[in-house]
Amino acid sequence: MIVKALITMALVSFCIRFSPFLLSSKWTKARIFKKLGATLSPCLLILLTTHQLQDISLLEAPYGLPEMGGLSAVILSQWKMKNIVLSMCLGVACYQLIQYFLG
Amino acid sequence: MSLVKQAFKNSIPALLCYFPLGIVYGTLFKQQGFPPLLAPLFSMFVFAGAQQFLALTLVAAKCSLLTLCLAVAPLGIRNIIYGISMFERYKKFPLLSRSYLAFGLVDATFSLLQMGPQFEEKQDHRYCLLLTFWIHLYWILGTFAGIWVDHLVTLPPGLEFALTAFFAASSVEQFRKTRDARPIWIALLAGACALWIAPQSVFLVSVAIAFAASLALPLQPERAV
Repeated sequence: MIVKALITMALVSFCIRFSPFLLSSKWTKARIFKKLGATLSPCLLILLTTHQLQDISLLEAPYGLPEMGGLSAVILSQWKMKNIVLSMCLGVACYQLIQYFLG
Repeated sequence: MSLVKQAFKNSIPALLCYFPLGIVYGTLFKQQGFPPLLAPLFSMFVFAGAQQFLALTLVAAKCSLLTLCLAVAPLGIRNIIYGISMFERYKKFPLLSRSYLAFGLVDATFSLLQMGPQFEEKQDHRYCLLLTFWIHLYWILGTFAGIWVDHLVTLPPGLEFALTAFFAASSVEQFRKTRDARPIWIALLAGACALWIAPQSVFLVSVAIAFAASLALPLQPERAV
């Protein structure tokens, strides 16, 4: 069963990801695809960020403060210093510190 | 700096997220009682974090293959959108490498390629391949490391936040490039609506709302650089 699942999932995964490349370029030059590329892809990055945060509770201690602090640190650091590894480290450090002091 | 090194350097954020997550996947796989060596094969040929975790639960519960496909396919919708946005960049590449690049277009590959340096076509082809390869490798190696670990590893909360931080930093870079704030508002509103109307499947519903909103909005005129 697990081997069948492996083969099935590998096929599903590949087919889904390759499907957009089967379109002809006439299609993808259409406005609708331009719109999706320009607006929806940045949206997705933000949705992936917020998706990670959806389970936090704002009503119970620590009131989502570690996440908010960590996120602010990441955004500020990335905007100013443009170093993604540094921003991630600062964000995690900030998150851990706030959690340590509040938790 | 050689292209291999440059791709490696730019892929470090993915290393920090995918390697530990791979370890967790490997240990969970082994703990479910499946043959451990299949875990890296899953990571190599399926290469889909959330879907792989979900499949473990479903296979352990003896679900049918059809149920498995129907359960994991919706999570692949975002990969289609990544594919659409990378279409123009990938279409000049040969079919074989285009197939690999399409397969390897996961969250991290997409975000890192969006912010990556600009090359001429031949260099860009190699850079895309190398970056995808590095990210794929971290996921496989992490899974390998996971099946060597004897006890179940849970992700320390700090590491879980690393993934959030990675996506947040990618969003900042995206905004720096486009200076278009509308996707931010769409995403936040879509997220809030989805949380309200469908708390069980927030991500899918918010992607659907964002999809509709992106189509409804007019295109922003291209910025003169």
